[in-house]
Amino acid sequence: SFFISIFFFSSRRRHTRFLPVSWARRCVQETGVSTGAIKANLKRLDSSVQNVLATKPFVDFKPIYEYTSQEISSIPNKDSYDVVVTGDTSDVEVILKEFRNVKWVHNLYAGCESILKSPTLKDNKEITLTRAKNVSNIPLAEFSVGSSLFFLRNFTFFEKLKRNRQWHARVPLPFLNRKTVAVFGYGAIGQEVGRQFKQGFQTRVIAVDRNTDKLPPYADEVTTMANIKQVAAQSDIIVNVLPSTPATQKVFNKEIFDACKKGAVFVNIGRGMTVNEDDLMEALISDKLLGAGLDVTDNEPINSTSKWYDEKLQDKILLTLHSQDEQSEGFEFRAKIFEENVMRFAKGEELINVVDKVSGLSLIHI
Amino acid sequence: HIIFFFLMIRRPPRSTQSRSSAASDVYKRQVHGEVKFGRAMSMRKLKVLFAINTGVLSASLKELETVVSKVLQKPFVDYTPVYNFQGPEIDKIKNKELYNVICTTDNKDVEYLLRDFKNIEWVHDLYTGCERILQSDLLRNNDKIVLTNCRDVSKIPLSEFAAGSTLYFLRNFPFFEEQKRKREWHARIPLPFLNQKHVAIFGYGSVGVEVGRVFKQAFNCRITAVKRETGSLPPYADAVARLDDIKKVVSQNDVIINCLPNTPFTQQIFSKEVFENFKKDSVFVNVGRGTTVDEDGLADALLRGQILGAGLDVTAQEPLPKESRWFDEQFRHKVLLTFHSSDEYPELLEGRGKILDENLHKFAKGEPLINVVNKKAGY
Repeated sequence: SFFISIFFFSSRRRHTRFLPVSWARRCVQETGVSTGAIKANLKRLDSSVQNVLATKPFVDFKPIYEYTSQEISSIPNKDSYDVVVTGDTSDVEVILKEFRNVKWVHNLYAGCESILKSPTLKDNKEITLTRAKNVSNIPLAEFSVGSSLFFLRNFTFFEKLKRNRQWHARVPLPFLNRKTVAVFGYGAIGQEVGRQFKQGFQTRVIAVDRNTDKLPPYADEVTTMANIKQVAAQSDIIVNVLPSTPATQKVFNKEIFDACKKGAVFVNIGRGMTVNEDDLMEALISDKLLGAGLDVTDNEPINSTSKWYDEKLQDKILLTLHSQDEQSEGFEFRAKIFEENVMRFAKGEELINVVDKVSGLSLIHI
Repeated sequence: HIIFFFLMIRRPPRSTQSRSSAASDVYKRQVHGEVKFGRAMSMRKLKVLFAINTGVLSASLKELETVVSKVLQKPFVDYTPVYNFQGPEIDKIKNKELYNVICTTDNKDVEYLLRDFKNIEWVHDLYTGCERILQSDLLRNNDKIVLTNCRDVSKIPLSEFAAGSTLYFLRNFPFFEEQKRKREWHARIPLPFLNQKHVAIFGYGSVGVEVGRVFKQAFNCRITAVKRETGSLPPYADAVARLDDIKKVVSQNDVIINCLPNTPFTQQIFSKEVFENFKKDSVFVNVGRGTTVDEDGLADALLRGQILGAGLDVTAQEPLPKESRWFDEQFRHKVLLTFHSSDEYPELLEGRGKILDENLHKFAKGEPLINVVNKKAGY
């Protein structure tokens, strides 16, 4: 054992054992969706990750697909496993109960709401949680711009005319240029949103964030959630990138929508729970808000009986079913982020994209 | 010394054929509605025929008339409004030879006016399109008459339409609108970015440059400016290509934005053959003129899935009749029609008025006008 210790301490790389928990198959089963495209994408993510692991001589790994006690109990030497890599799933609790020496859990996605529901992960200070970041900044920002222009350029009006085979005389429409855009949550995604609006459309950008130490990139001013009402009153476009945390539940409510400018556009690429949806619907139906681009809603998937499908809301909302962050190039990028951390972990270096388990967000703000 | 002093006071040379697009400092220093004479001889008196054809009158033409009438109320301007381009109203006008300016819309009947008013030096088109007004032989062939228009005034809304309709198709909005109507959820499908895509802009004038700016600065696109003749690299463009190379250009670009005007050289330049060369899943946007597009070719390319979608602010026929193919079910998710209204915005008329205002001052002072149209090129 003396010999082994010398080997262990003198080598610069730790011998790590990985447990990639492939929730992919399970995810597909749970949503009952079986379209080829989805399965194919998750399979690609799966194989990208396995590729990262397979090419490292200092890595041993074992993929698991079902979290049944059978599958888990069949794995020998559970205590020799250091790392779990998975998606945003609370089932990581089941794993962590059996694999007691895990020091690092990597989430291949950015949202950590479900994974942090695992008490063992949340409370055990010895386990570091890291996640993917920057993977979806661009498509989410493009959705924000696209849905803002969708409403400002009156596309629903023209689509309706087209369905009725009707020409129409010219109607003056407002520009996006030089309007005021408020971005709630000014992290990686928020900054890309700010950049596209500012550089493309010369808008004024108000960043709303926990961190107001200095003026972040592309913002004309930065303020905190304490000023949400004043910010709403000045904004022509509101882009909500807030994650779901105890502090952000239903922060967009009647009071805020009442304070909004008439004809403002609301875009949600954060989380549905941060919005009081009844109040939002009311603001839309009463024509206070021009329209809402919603990639996320409180309940997903949206039930066919949902109030979102109400006749009165048809022309005022764009529902993109939590799809706007998904992209063809994402898998390799997610695998790269994971690979970066694999190398750092093996060398004993600090990991990137570490999650602050209390807020579910980045530990160090960029 | 006295003789020398008087020799120094000369009228500045008047050159109205040169192009100048920047607002002059001199104009900005003018007090609105009042002229401060640097030298008593430097401001000409203008006699303007303001011809607006009520036959095509719509609410906005009446508003245009109101805005323009205000602009024309200047101490150095004497104007006569007319609503017909020939007939008794014109016959009644005395001293036709004193009129030196016609301010009008894109109307070929300016030919009649130029027959009767023989001393016109400057014709100002209150719109941007010159396709009809240049059908007037007298206007086109007389080198002494300068033509100006109102380009520049719609570049922002048109560029926003171009960006909005491109994102509309790339982010799959027609699909989600359909799902919403059916009240159906659907699982996530990966979608392409606009970021770093290759965008070709046909016609790189004031609208084209603004489109290039938006796509480059917001979306980091690689911009190819397509013009009649290549020269130095224009603003925001990564490459320039010639209009003659249209087939090659469309095969190499993911988004094609057409800003070409209607001239004899651009008729159906987007031919059936050209559409056959488009990249798979490309997006086509037309903010130029419908006459530059062979709509059969476009329709085929959309139906066979070669082109993902087309944002059409302009079409070959305007207004579109009810039977038009663009209203058919098969194009429902592939075409966005905005009925030639994407350039309309609340301050548009003011913008047109400002351009006229600037040129009135410049013309009166013998300075180069802005927005001069190249009559041979047609734009």
